[in-house]
Amino acid sequence: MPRDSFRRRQFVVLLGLSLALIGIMLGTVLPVTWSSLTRRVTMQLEAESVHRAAEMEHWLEEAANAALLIASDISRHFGNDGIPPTDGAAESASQPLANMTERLRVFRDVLDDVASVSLLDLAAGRVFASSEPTLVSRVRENEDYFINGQHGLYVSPLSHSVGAEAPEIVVAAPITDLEDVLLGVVVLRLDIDDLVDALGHPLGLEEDGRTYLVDRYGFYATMPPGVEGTPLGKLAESEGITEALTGKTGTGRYVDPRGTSVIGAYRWLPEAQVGLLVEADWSVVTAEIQRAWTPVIISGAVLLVLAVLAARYLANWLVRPLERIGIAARALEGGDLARRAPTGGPDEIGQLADTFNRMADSVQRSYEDLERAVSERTQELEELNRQLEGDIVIRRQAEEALRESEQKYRSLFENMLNGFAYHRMVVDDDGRPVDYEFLDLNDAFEQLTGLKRENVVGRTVKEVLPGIDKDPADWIGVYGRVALQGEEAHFEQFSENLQRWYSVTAYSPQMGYFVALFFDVTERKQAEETLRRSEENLRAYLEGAPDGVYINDLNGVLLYGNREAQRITGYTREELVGGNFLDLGLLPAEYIDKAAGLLALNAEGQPTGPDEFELVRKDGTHIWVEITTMPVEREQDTVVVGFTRDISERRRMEEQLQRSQLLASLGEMTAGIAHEVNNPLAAILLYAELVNRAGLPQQVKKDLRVIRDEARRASAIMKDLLTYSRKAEPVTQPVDVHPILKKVIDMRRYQEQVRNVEIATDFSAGPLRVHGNSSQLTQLFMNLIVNAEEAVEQAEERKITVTTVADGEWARISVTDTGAGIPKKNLSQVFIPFFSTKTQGRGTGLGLSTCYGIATAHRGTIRAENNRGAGSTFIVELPRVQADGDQARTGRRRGRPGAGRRPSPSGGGAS
Amino acid sequence: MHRLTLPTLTAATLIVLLTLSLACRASDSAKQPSELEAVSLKLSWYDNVQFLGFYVAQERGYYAEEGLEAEVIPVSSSEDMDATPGKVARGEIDFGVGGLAGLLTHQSEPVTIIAAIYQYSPSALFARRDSGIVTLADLAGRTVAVKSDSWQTAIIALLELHGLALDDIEQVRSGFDMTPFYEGEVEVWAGFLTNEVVRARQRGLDLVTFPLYEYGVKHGDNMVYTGREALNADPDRAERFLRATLRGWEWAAANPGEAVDIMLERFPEMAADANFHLASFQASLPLMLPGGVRLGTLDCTAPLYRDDPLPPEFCSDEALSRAREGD
Repeated sequence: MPRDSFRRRQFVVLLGLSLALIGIMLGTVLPVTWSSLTRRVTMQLEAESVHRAAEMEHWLEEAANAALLIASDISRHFGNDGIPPTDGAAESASQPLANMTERLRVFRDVLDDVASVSLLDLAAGRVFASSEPTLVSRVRENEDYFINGQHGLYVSPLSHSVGAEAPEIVVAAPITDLEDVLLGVVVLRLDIDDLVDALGHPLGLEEDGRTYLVDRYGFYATMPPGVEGTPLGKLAESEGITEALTGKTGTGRYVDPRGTSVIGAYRWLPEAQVGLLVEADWSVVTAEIQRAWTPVIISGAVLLVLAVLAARYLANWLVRPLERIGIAARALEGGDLARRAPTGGPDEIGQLADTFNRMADSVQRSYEDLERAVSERTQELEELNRQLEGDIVIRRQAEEALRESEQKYRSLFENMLNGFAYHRMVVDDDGRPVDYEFLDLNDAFEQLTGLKRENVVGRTVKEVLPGIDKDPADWIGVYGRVALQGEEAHFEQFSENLQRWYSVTAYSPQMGYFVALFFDVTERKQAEETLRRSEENLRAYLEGAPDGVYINDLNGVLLYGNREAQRITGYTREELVGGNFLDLGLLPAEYIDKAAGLLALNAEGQPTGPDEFELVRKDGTHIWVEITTMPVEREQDTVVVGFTRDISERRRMEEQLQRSQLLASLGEMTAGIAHEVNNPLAAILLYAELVNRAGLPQQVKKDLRVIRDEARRASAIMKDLLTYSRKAEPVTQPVDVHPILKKVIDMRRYQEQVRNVEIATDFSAGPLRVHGNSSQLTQLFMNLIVNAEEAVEQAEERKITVTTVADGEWARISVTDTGAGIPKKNLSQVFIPFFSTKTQGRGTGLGLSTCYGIATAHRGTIRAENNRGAGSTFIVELPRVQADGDQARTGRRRGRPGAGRRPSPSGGGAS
Repeated sequence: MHRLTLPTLTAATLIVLLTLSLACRASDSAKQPSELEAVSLKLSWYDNVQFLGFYVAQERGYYAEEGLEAEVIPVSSSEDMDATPGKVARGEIDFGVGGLAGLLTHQSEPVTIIAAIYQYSPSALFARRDSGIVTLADLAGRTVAVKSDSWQTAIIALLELHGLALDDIEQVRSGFDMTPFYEGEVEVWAGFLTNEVVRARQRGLDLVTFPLYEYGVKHGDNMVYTGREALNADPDRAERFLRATLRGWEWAAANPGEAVDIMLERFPEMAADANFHLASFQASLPLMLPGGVRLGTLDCTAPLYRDDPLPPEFCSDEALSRAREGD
């Protein structure tokens, strides 16, 4: 008795000590990973959002510049002749108009992201020329861009125009003659889809992140990458979108329109009247945290095991030395890692103290190792942060460079749009292109290529650039196809000679002739390259982080979740980030309040946890996790970083323990009840018999019989209850279970024939002897087989298989049926007395609990599992009698059967 | 987003009723004070998002706040639809809403248009993009679905603007079932940008559309009108009705998702087609709210298909102006 309680006490102290140690580790490492991850993800998203907004602004500026350039080009084209008269009638497509259409088409093709270029006349506000024939002669007189475009450059907000399938942004600029008299308006319709392709996935995330636009009504302007369909009729609703649509800019964790928890940066772009959303799936954050925690969890587990082993060992010693060690342990618990237990005294105690000190050393070492690991990790993260900040600087410089380049580009265009050269193709006798002659070129061409007009015009390219026919770019071939087959060519080419990049567009205005338009895009190319590299760094940074982390805002909206979070939850990042974990379906209803409570603590600036939660994974399976959270303040708001660890296995063990405790206490209670009820029952039976004498009226006799029968039934229930709750070991002797099983099966043979149930046996070779009580074992097996018969009663296939296996010190008897199986929630309850899914009044409701009573009284176990296919299996394990003597005791000493080799829940329980 | 709950609505209604009753008691003790003035609105079609603002105004209690109890009545048949302007003129029904083309065929009835929910006509011709039809001129020789006389009028107007006549196209009489278009039997369909075009696009068809508006048809549509006699007798009622109606439409435009939800809750059988109704409402937004124009704006001087403006007594923006005065 004292030994027992002492053992327990020591065990508790050491368990507490090791948990405290783990707590210290958590407390040290957590804030570091926590804050750095928060900082990192939020910074990245905000940076992305700023960057994307700038990119969009830049994109619009570029389009606006292009509109101005085209307007000036067209103004010059018309000169003082004015716009050719049109009444919208199709036949007025005169030659100048055809030429103009051709010219607009070239502009459209040269300018990426421009869907159409149209010219509106002033009088009717009608499209009189367009790169898209279908737009010609449509009325635009009421459109903002027609009205505003007459006075100067105008960029429209994003809006749906009448009859359009998707929202558009339109840029308009006035066309004037040489005396600045207004002639009309040039209108560029921008291709929003191209813009979004350019915006792409944030943070270098693939499916886990996305950038998209929402119009002022809350409809998608562009579909987020990876989301099916067109924006038509697709309302986009999320907290981030609501915020953006009310003109706010910020970051947060919320559920995105797909119902996925995301961490997002949102902003309202007032000029374009559009909400810009940059989102990453929350799973990105949780996966990060998970990765960060793996080493910590492993160390913790090692410590825990160490502590348990030590506890078992120490439990055999006396109180005082242990108390002293206990004091040391408490000191350790308090964080004094240098504290050691006093040595000396009896040898064993000395050894014990040494052992404890060794453990403390190892704990201290582990802790120091961890601390080192943490500080290394912190340094690593800080280094990466520095890199990130560097990346942002590089980006800014790249953007600056882009802007500068564009200004140059624009000033080039002031005179003429681009490098322009007009050529005649020279063909051989077979009509193959062999050379071409320069007919005309402009200043821009001279500047771009360094070739001078006087040296070039009237000469062929072979004369000007000897060896060009051997150039791998095959200029003559490419231009030949343009000039002779009317193909348009658009390509980018690096000139080795001039060390510059050119964007070239070539088209043929007339058979045998071609025009080449040159843009110098060297700066853009370099800027793109720099941007690309910086993107790659960001991406590697995030992808390479080894830890699992998630971040949410104070509303519970997931802002970030890493790969490990994705693994735990089974959701993709897209699905997680933007979603609110409170309503993502991740938390079962009963945990919502608890989670909301923790969130409230976070809002007060308090860390929480570790708290246990049961999560519903995407595939519907459940997973137990332990969540620790910590609020992190940022400049404008507070976010919460959470760490999640999978504790499913631990929970399973705990549940098992609880279940057996419950069954044991139920046993004690039922024993008490049975004893109390048995006496009155006996009295009822006796008096019912006594009263029932001859001469009583028939009806009274009948009633008395009912009393007697019901009392007998109650008595039978009591007997079963007593069997279930029997605490004393039954009188046992070595018995072979095979003859008992055969006898039971024989007894049920008739019933099974009647019910059309097939029963098969698969017995181990030879006798399978256990220490048992034949009559109780008969009852045990009988109950199991009757139970199986009832299970298959409604099934199509009615088969029961009885299997026996000799497994080391244990005899395992399994009864498998092909019935409907046991609902998962009932699996742990089937052995509880009166837990029955059968119709009321059939059986005592004690069959399986009696089995439990018998199996435990035999120092064995019984459990139920569902088969992989259909039905369930009941498995009884009893201590086996080996060759001779008392082997059962060995079994007992080794602990409960099945420990450590229990079939895993997913591994198909039926053995 | 703050949503009016039932209790809030009830409370608001009660307060309005109380105020009204006190006011009425003061002026005319004989009148039954606590009752709302019943008005009826007849739609020009079955219930759909074309009338969304009316449902919103009703469900959100805007009519009640104006002391009105509005009843919204869908049409039961095309005869019923045709009879509406007459009933409105005679005061059997207080207000009507409908397309301008339909109203013009009843010019003899003494009714007055008082607001335009759509600034542009939702009517359009459309074809598959791969049909080779690029401009209106390409319609020559093509099969075009014609649903009714008023559609024929619209089509003639469109063709004439581009030097074509009705004989240049091949007319095919059709109903509302678009199967002939989907199956390629008819190349060009005439329908609403807010209905057939959305349906076809939701089927994944790439369309080229020729909205009447883009070809010079300048009048608004989805007009609210009332009996001329009733308007003269009680201009205040029309003003209150319009004020509540426009509030309903404005709220719907600001909250498209919630507004469509209100309709779907009211007509649960529509819920199966929720995505269509939302897309349809989305397509009607540019018709309702082109940049810078206020909802409901009525331009009585805008010409009809060709040059003739509406007869002056047939159109009046006075009630609309007064309804907006307090804003």
